[in-house]
Amino acid sequence: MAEVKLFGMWASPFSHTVELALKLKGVQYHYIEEDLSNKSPLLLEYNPVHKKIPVLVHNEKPIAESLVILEYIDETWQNNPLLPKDPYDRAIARFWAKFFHEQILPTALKTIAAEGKEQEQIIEQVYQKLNFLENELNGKDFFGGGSIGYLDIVVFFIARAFQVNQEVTQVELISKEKLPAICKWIEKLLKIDVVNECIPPREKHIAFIRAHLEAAKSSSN
Amino acid sequence: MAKTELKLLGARASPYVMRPRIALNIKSADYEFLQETPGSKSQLLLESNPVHKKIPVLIHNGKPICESLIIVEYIDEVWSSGPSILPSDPYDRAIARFWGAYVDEKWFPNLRILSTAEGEARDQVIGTLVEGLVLLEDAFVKISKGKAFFGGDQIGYLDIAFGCYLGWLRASEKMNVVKLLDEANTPGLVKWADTFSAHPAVKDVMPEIDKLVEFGKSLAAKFRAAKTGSS
Repeated sequence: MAEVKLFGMWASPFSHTVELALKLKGVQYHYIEEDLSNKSPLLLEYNPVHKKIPVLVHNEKPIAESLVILEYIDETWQNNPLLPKDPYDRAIARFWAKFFHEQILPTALKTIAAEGKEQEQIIEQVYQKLNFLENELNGKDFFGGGSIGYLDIVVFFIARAFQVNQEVTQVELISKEKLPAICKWIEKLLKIDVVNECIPPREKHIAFIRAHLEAAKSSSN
Repeated sequence: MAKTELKLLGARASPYVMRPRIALNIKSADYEFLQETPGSKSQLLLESNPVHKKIPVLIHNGKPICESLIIVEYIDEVWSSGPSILPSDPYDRAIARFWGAYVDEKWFPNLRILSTAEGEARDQVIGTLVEGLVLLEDAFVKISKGKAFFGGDQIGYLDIAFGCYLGWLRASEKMNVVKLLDEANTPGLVKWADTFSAHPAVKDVMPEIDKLVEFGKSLAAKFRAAKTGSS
């Protein structure tokens, strides 16, 4: 019987974030793929409030919301700490994670429906916000310093999704000229085996994004 | 610790500012409260929180910490010898953080728009708010296990996260002549609200309801004026 279960979705960066955390801790888990168009009764039972993935279930007790799950994982399995030790550094890591989820991601999503001048303005807004993180890297290998940490895990999969999105939308959110440190950081992470294990196959991912965007565009017309 | 090493930038009417104030009270930590003038932002605020330019900001030994619940966790971690704010068990902590995120991201935004909603939209907002409160009532019963607070015998993280909204909740009930918390749907929360508000760590930092009503009315008027001005 698996003590740890993860309800996830193969294309969701939030799901990947949790998987990477579990893998970095060496936690064995049973992964359950959810069809988001037809959510399982079990998922709805474990996350009745939001009805979303990812949901971690540990000893039959469910935890939802990726950032909450990350902190739970870090506190339960104390090897390879994800969050820094120092309270101030922890506050900073949490601050940027929140900023990324609440500011950068929603703004980036707005570029999908926008066109022309409006889209250009939104792209610029995303750049301004990403620039804070560019500065936060500040010569370090990872946001966590010498090794992958909480903020790396939170940001990477969404940043990578921006890049994959670009293949479909031609919208460049992370340019080498403007955000060189972030680009280098993504490349560094892509070379790490355990990170790669969490990324979906590129072509499958692109096809999924393309189909998703077509559906979104036609539903808004 | 010298008072000047710990400063909190804030405003009395802000529910978010209440959070670190309650946390600091629980830890019996002295701090200098720097009240921001409504309508303008001090140089110190703009320098300490360049990303959001918002209160609260805790400045500890010259280093700023932003975002109210992040500040509360920071306070709990630094003043570790005082009464604990977060539960000790990782699962209980996760549940507390889950509901803290819920009230901020899902519940409160509806309270914010209540005073400017009209007709059917207004009824919908009220319905959503009450549904949310019923969820929170259920959570309260499960988490408190018969004790006075979400945190048990003592005020904890989720009491602080949700309780800070009580001022605006009561002000909204007055302004809109509607009952959001009531004995029929949320008896546990009705009792909790009174106990929380009367708690020594809370009562001096809870804003006066009538002042919030005044403030709320002027905000709603400004909103309506801006709306008609742009149409």
